[in-house]
Formats: sequence, C-alpha cells, structure tokens
Amino acid sequence: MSFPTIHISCPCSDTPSIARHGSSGSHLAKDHSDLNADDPAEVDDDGQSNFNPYSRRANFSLYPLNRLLFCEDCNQIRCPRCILDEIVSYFCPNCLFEVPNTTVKSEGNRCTRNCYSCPVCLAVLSVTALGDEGTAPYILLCNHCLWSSSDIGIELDKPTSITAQLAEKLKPSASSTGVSTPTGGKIYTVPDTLITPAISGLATSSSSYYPSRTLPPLPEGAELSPGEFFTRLQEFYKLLKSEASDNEDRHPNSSRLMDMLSTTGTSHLRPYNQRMSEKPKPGWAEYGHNQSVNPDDDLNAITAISSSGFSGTTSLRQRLTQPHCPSLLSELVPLAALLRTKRSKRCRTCRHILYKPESKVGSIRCRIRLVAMNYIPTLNITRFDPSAFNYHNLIPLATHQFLLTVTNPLYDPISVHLATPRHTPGKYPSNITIYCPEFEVGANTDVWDEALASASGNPSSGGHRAKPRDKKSAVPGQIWDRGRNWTSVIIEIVPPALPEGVDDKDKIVKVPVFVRSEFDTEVDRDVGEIGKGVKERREYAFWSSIDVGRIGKKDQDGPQRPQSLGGASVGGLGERERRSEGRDRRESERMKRSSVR
Amino acid sequence: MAPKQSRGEYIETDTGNKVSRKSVIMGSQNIILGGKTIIQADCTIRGDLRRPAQPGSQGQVALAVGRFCIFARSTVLRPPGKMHRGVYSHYPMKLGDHVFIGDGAVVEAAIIGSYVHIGKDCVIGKFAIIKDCVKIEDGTVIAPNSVIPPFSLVAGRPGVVVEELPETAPEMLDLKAVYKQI
Ligand SMILES: [Zn+2]
Ligand SMILES: [Zn+2]
Ligand SMILES: [Zn+2]
Ligand SMILES: [Zn+2]
Repeated sequence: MSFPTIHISCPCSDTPSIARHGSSGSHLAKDHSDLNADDPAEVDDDGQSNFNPYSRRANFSLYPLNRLLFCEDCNQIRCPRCILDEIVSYFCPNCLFEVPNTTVKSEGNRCTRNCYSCPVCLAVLSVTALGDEGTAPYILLCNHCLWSSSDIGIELDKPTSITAQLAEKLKPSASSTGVSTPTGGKIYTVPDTLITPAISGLATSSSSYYPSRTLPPLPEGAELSPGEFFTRLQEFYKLLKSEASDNEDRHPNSSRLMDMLSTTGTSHLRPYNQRMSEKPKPGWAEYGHNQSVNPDDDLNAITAISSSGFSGTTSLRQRLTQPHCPSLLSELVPLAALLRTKRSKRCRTCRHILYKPESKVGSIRCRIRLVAMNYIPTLNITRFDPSAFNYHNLIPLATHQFLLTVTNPLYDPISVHLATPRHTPGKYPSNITIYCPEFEVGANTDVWDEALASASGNPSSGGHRAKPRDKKSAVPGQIWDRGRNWTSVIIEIVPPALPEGVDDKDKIVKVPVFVRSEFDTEVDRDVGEIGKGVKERREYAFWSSIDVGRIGKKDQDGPQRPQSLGGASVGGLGERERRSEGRDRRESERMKRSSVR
Repeated sequence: MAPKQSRGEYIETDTGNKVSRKSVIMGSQNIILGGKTIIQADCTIRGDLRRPAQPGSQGQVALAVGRFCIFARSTVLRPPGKMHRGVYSHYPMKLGDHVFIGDGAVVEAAIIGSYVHIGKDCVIGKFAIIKDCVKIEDGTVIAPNSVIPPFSLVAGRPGVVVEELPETAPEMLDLKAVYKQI
C-alpha cells in the first residue's frame, strides 16, 4: 500500500448512511458511535451524514479519480458500479482484427486466425520455419520459454491458416498424441486416453438413457471424445428443451440461448424438474451417479506421472487454461487468443452515454468521453515539510502538516468548501484541522497562459506542487499558496498513540474530506448567442478519503529510510502494488539472454 | 525518476530535447527526436543498428521518437534485428509521444505507440508492438513478437495483460508535467 492516496466515494453506494450516528442498525456504526458522540455532525450542511472511510462497506464506494466518469444529466460522478457496459466491437488482442458479432456467435470468443499463445507460459507463439531457407516444416515456437508445437509432435506444412492445420493435426486419427483445442464453436476431438474419468464414465453410460429419448444409441463400449460427447449432450439438451417447451410459450431468446449452450432457459427448467420427480431415472441424476472414478484411468495417470516426473506435470494455471485440463506437460496444446472487447459506458440511472470509443480497434480516440476529472476538482496531498519522511511510520501525538492542493479543471473559477470531522472516525481517532476550509480556485484558462506564467517564474508547474516560500507562514484561516487554477491549504493531523497489538487496518490514518465546489457558468455554452451571458450557479459535492499514512511506534529512534516521498495525485495509476518486487534478478538476466537468442 | 541533475547535465536542442552528456548515443544521424524528449544519464541508444543503405538510396532511420518521451537512467534502446534471407538485418524502431521508459529497461520493440509507460527493469522483446495507452509494470519481460493492445496493464514474466486501463489513461500517462519538472 502506498501513501498518501486519495479515493473518492461514489454516492451510488449507501455507505454514508452507515456512519450516521445511532441511526443505523449496523454494528460497525455502533462500534464507533461512542467515538462520534462528542462530535456531532459538523459537516451536516444539508442533512448529509459523515462518511466513514473505515467502514467495511466504504471499500465498495471508494475509487481513485481516474476510474470515475461523470453524468451531466444527473450532475453526479459515476463509478464502475453505476455504469452499464455495452460492447461496441470484439477484437483479437494479438492480430488486432475486429471480429464481427456474427462470427463471435458462431465461432466463439477466440481468434480463428493465426494467434496462439504458449500453453506453458502464455507468451505469444510465433510461426517459425524449421527448413534451412525459411521453408517447411513450420512449428509454433514460444520465444519466451522455447516451448514449441514439436514438443507435442506437431509440425505444420504452411505458415498460414494455422487454426485449420492445428484442427487437422489434433484429430486423433491424424496423430496418436494429438489433443484438442476448441477455437470457438468448432469442436475438435481429443484422443481417448485424455478423456477425464468423469466424462468418459458419463459417455459410456449415457447409452443407457439415450435410447429412451430419440437419440441414436451408442455402439456398445464406444468411447466418446469430449468433442463428440459435447455434440451429443447438445442434442440431448435440445431434445429436453423441445419436450419442455411443448406445454408453454417459447421464450423469444431460447433459440439463441440454445446456441450459446449455457443451459436451457430457467423457464424451461422448471417444468423439466417437475417431470424429473415423475421419472425414476432422469439424466441429471445419472450424471451425478457416474462421476465415480474409473480405477483404470487413475492407474494410467499414476503411471504417466511417475514416468514423466514431477517436472512433467502441469501447474494449476496451465491446467485450467486448457479445455481438457491435462495433468501432463506433454498433453498441452496451443491456446487460441481470447478476444477482447471495446465497450461504451452508460449512466445506469438515466441511460445517457458517458463514454463511446471509436470502433476502430487500434484507435484510442472516442466520440463521447465524460470523465470525472474534467468536472470535479482534483485533490492532491503532499508533505508540508519536504524533508525525508516515512509515510509508513507517522509519529504518534506529533503534529503532521500536509499541503492539500485543490486543482480546478473547469474554465470557470470555483469556490471550494472543504469539511472534515474533528477526528477521524476510526477506532483510534486522529485529530484533523484544515487551516482554511473555504477558498477560491482560479479557472483552468488556456495553455498559453500557463506557458507564459511558467516562463515568468510563477510556481505553476502544472499546478501539482507548491513550493513553500520563505515569506509564508502557516497561519490558520489563510490559504498557503495559489496558482493559476490551483490553491493549496494546510491540513494538520495529530495521530493518537496506539496500544500494543493494534490491527494493521486501524493504524492507517484515513481522513474523510467533504468537498463542495460552486461556480457560475454560462448556460448552454454551445447554443450560441441566445444563451450568452445568462449565468447559472452549479455545485459539485463529494466525499473523499485521504489515506495519509500508517501510525508508527511512539519512541522510534531516528527516522527510518523513507519509503515513499512526494505526493500522490488522486488520479495516480500507481496504486497497484508492485508484483515483481523481490524476484530473483538472475531470472531477468536469464530472460534477457534467451530473448537475445 | 532520477533526482534533478545539476545545471549543464543536459544538452538542450532547439526543439527542447534534453540529452544527458553522460548518455551513449550511437549513430545519432539515424535518430529522429520529435522534441521535448529527455534522455537521462547512462542511456544507450543504438542508432547505428540499421539496415545498410542500399546503393542509390538514402540511409534509413534507425529510431524515430515522438514528443514528450522520457528515457530514464540506464535504459537501452536497440532497434530489433533478425536473419532475413541469410542476412542479419536490423529494422527501425518507432516510438510515439509520451513514452516513458523506466530505469534500466531494455527495449527492442518495433513499434511503441503513444502514452506508454514502461516500468523499471523491463525487457521489451524484439519486434514487440505496443499500442497506445499501455502501462507495463516494473520488471515485466515482454516476449519477442508480442502485441499489446490499447488500454492494457501488463505484468509478469512473460508479460500478459492483467487488467484494462480506465478511460482516463491518456491523462494518467501524459508526460508534459514531468517534462517541465526536469
Ligand atoms: Zn457509483
Ligand atoms: Zn488474432
Ligand atoms: Zn512459453
Ligand atoms: Zn445519468
């Protein structure tokens, strides 16, 4: 976790009411009600209750500013929970070709061109010629881990139409070691040895009930590949559905549902279930019954694993990304690339479009784009004293001063009102003081003005960091500094001394700040002459939570090595924790070398 | 980001490029910088790796860089090369605007779009294509010939897309403000 971070609470969540004193039945609120009792809702301007960032439900409403959109019609920020996604187009992330909707429906959600990824490490596979002069045979080679399709005995005759060639090679008749990869709706078959016990058990026994329906009976002792089994099962479902829908209205979407073959529609399941009670041996019960393990398959698996060794087995991730869940590396097959989507976003309340991308795959441009950072003021917090400072070790009972900078994205000046409770609402409350809670922030004027201002030496370096100047002093009731479209004020925090054994989450100082910005704007700027000069007062208001840092031990000898310096912007993308930290450096060296080869 | 360096550390060009005196730029006549690009100390940029000029035609550009790009300390940019018809030849590398390359990263991509953040110690394999609005986490190794679609967050070894970036990615990955601070 990095400090300081700022999150904004989307009002679509009902979280604020949780923190209301005594009015909520939540035991969380009760826990804190005594702490809040001496602190009646200072922020209660319009009967709005204090926001509690410590509340467990707050996690569901807090988002960094960059995740938020804004609905002009509702005059409200919109978070991923209160927007609707609509698919604009499907595309392959590897070849970047758009895939038409109809193809997605018929072929499934994988690329049917030549895009495959390594079944071992998921890196992209490239078609590589084995012949001396770049001629046949070709293999699919992973340039990362050097796995190749020849490891499973597959060599291709030409460097194009890989999907069709793979399908051919993976047919059990063509190659005894071949396996399957369903790239979408096409169904390839898997050699019988790879069929999991559960499926093969069902496949053989299914002959016992298929005849009772009108499906052709299976030959005695026939083993079905999962592909064939799938087709049979599909027919079986169709049969069930046609029977079920005889005595009720057909759902208009049922045929489409059938195509997608998730299951029969719920409306059809109900009468079927009723019939299940009449029939002594329905298919579902049979399926459950036949999941018993076939001892022969177990023995085969044990022999295979003992001969390949532990290093020859697949990891959980490798197994789960494969359609047939193989347990041996030698049974892995190349994975066709999963398609991705471009989506537009709508307001869930009024259905207006908030974001609409161009359908062109490689383009990042969009037709409509209402993002919150273009509407609501941006908060930014930095340490007042810029010397080395450890956000993970705030000294208790000491006064910590921070600079809270409010940046205005609008072309009109705004007046900002900040409000906080006197103490943080956590279990161990810190004292909070904002020196100047009401102030003006200038308009976000032209870039030219900014360039001129920075040329003349004004401290408006993008409005992101105010440099403390000698003449200024931190006086309560006054702002600290201001620039073209930003103003910074001092916020003072006194963390409490914590008893031993406090939960880590209670050590974090989370400051709830209510931000209200008001401005006068011309009504309907784009209407032209008619609307000119008519001003309208508008207001944006939201709760934010500033995670200032973690309270440390009381008598810390000497400051520790600072872990994070400088400020975090609300919009920062850096909240994701570093994944590869502490990994062996040698590994990366090895990777470098192998990638050079 | 390296700390601010003393005055005179950078050579500034007419178009606002700032190139550290401690960087190693080879074949600079084959490199095009779009302007306002910062190359920090100990960077190695191999403009010399390009296909030999055909007789009668002008020499090819080895590396084209857009505006507002930042190459942090000790980064290596090397135009990719491979055997082609029996000859090992190099192919040009193209970078868009607002490309940040973190400390110690090694880049052999063919094309990098705009608004791309490459973290510390990343390795971008040969002929990789990285589209616009992509963030690559520190220490990621991107396999050769990979294609990273727009609005992707990439992590791991090998790097795979782990998340979609939000709509605001262009603002988040904009480097104008960073350029002003250096
Ligand atoms: Zn919401
Ligand atoms: Zn593809
Ligand atoms: Zn691999
Ligand atoms: Zn709305």
